[in-house]
Amino acid sequence: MTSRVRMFVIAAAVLATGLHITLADAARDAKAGDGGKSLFAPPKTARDYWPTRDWKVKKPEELGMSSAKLKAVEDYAESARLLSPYADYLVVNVSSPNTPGLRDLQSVESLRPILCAYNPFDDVARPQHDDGRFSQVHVPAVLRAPREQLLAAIDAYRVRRFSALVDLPASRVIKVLGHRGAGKTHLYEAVLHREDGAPQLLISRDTENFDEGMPFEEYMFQLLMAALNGQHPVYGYRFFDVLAAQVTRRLLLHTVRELGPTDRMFVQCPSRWRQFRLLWRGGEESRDRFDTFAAELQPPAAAAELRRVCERQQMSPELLADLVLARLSRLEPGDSTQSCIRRELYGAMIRAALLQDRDALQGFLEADYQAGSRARVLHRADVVRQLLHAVREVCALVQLPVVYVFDNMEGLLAPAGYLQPRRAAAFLEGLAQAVDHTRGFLFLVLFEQGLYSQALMHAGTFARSRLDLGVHVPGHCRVAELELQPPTRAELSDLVQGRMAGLRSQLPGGNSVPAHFPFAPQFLEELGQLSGMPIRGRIERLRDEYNRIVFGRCDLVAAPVDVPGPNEVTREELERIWEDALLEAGRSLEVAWTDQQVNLTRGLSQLLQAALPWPEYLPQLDAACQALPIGDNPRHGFATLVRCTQPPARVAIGFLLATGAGMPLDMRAKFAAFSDEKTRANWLIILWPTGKSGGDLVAALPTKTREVWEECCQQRAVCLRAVDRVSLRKIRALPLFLENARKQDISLSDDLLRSFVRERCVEVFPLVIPDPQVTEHGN
Amino acid sequence: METEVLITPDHVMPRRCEVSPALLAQSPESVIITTRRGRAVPLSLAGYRLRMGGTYQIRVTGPVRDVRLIGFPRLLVQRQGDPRECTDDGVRYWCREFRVHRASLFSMITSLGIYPEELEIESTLLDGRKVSVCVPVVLELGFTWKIVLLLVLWAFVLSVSELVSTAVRDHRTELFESPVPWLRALVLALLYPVMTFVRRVHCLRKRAGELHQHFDTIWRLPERGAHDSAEQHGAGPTP
Repeated sequence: MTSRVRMFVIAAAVLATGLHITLADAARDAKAGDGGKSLFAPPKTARDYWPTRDWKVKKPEELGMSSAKLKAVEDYAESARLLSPYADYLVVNVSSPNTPGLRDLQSVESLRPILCAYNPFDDVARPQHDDGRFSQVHVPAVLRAPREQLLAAIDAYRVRRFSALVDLPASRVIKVLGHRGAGKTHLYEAVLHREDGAPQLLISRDTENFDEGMPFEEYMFQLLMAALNGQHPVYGYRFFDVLAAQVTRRLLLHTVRELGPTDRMFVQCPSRWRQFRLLWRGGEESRDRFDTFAAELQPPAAAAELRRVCERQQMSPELLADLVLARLSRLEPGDSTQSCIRRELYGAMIRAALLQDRDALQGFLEADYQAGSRARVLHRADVVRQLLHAVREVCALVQLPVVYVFDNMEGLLAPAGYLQPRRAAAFLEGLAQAVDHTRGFLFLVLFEQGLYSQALMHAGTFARSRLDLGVHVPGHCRVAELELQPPTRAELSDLVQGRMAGLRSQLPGGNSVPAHFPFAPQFLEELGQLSGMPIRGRIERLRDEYNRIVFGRCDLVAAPVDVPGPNEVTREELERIWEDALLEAGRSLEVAWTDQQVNLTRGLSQLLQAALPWPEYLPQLDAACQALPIGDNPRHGFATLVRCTQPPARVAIGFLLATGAGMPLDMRAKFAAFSDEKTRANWLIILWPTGKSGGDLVAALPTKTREVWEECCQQRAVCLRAVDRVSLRKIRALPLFLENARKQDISLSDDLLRSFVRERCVEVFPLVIPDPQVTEHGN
Repeated sequence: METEVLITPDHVMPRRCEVSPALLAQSPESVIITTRRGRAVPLSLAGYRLRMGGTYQIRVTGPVRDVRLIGFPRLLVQRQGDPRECTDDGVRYWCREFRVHRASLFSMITSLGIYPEELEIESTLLDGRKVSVCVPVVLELGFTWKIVLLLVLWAFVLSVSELVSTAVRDHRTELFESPVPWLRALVLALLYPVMTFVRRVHCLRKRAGELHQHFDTIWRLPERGAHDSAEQHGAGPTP
């Protein structure tokens, strides 16, 4: 949105200079490969919309054009047409004193072509992106049947009564299959922007973090936490806040009702004199006050304004939080993992809702669920399953279906353009395991038809059978697979009507024009009968036909965004993608940098994979390295494993990211690298993002963390190093960089990537080299 | 060798992964005590104050399908009729009526006419769960002039009997010659209601103290800062 507006501002500014030829001709020149004469290349990334020093506006003479050739109106019109897909508003400032015939340009006849140079099919024909414009693009008639089936399936996961785990429907998978451009992403967006506004937790298609080595349920949990911590893509609220408010309201209501008649007086801590008076009578006031408070806490109104209700009733949120926490401790006693998780989760919600503690969710994630459990030591997978169940329980309580949507599967399973069998098998097997081991989750997997067939060949019988179970949807029987069909003639007609509705309403007598306006019925008929062409292809045909009919141009094919096939990338483009990735990494580290354990571990692994082998600079490091989960702590137990030849060692590299109470746990989790069977490391490097660059880092550790360090590092080769913010950003940025490059269909050769990474991340590599002064017998 | 069937404990039910009890209601919406006619009963720090000889109602509102009075002082309280569902001003509630008996004269005088007790009410919620609520009550004799007079008379009789018994035992005759012992007995008798009042206050305060202690036990506030142990551990510097 911002970038589009900025683009528009630039456009308006350029238009206002009087050099009205510039944008259209420049864009055309750029497309024609006239790089030397172009004003600037057509934008490809958001960064392109920002002005830089290179953006010099050339004079027409420099472009080899004489003023006599300038056809102002046509150029303005084409500029407007080219820019309209990127701008929300277009302002034409016709005030250039140097332009010949300025007054003529201000006439309605001259301006009309500029303002009408809008093709209503442009937006729909472009690949769907999460750019907040979906509601403007969407035509409900398109993909109505599969959308309704999906929504009905999602609603089947909205449980009305929930008293035990068995009340949740079993976890199931629905596969949405279709060719490229069949509208899979559009379908996902349509489900996300559902018309009835019913709440649902769609856990996004972020496939970036999937790692074959990571248990699937951990992957699920991380996605779930990210979704809870993130904002709703449509309405903008933070899911955790909404959940917390509603759960806290419920807990608070039960607490208030459970307060006995005398308890209500004691809560208010009356003075001595008031206590003496209350020995005789007068407790009715307190009782009625709490009754009124309870009435105000009745659903559904109070959840959103919980604190306001407390203030209105002159109840201290801190006191109420204490009461609810006390009740929670009483009703969820014991040190079993389940009780601990519930206490921490509900406690975090209470603190978030009543005390406005924004970091409450972090506290829940930081808690150690193994330490309190004296009954038996749970495996890491069990803890994750319990965590998942606790969060799912809360979602079920507020009738919130939890749906995992895996879009862009080609990016996940075939990042290099061909299917990676091991990755595909890991994903499908993991999905099947999740179907078996969890309850209450719905998985939507959006596959390209051919890719799904290929991937299925690498899945075992178990996975296939689980993927085909399907969801029993009332009124739609069993839904296991949805194949997106090209639109029919009637749907095309509805699409045309929907897209033309805005323009028709502006026309005098627009309602009386036929439904297929401005197309010929024959054209729509033929378009509907075309076989094998997905919906996007048909919309592109509509767009081109519209251009031909309305603007009289056959060659107007706008939106150079979707360029199929891999592109060879230039160094400048690579720089731009890297800068974008750095920006994004910086943002994600600012928001929740303690939550980046997996991303950073994986980023470091990818960074080393890209840069190694490097005999000139890092002769001692082997090329093989991978990110692995270690130990039993699902929150902090991650490390990057790299082999070192001199001295020969298996080096585990972990990040000490937690703060506060979680820091000792984080530190202890890293030492699991020595005992974990997968890693069997004999070296450990812990990277600590501290502000201290010199001095004794161990002495700078907080007391409890230092105690853990001193306890664990005996007779082991361990090294604690400070990592600065710049390095962290670069490590975090690399997966984003690779992802963005892949999204833009840019093929990165190994050599190019290697040299780029070596050059850009040179300060990271010293951090991962084992210190020869540190021996295995201690520091 | 003969085999035998493994005997398992009968009370062990199949384990079912229930939802957290914290998320479920553990009490009806409200439990109040009113007079038979629905008038409010004074509520003090020691509980509802109920007069002996009165008939009262326990009113339970909320999604309840049955109400039972299961815990009560059987010598003083008697259940009356069956629980029934009633409507008052459009509010539906379950009603359980009970009567508070008069205690015996001896009991009344020895315990100064005040009995701190507790009524335990069990409600069956719509989902079949049974939850119980304890309502503190103070059963007391009305502090009327009749009682004062009775107490004065009683004290007077006690004092006189003591004086007479002393005179007979010690063969002292000043009892019949001087008005001082009589006056002393009268003053003592008049002090008796005052003492009763004081002791009643003491009893109410004691009961209120017990309830406060109970409140602290049940609603024990978690130690502040337990979750903020970051300071103790020392939060790591942010990058």
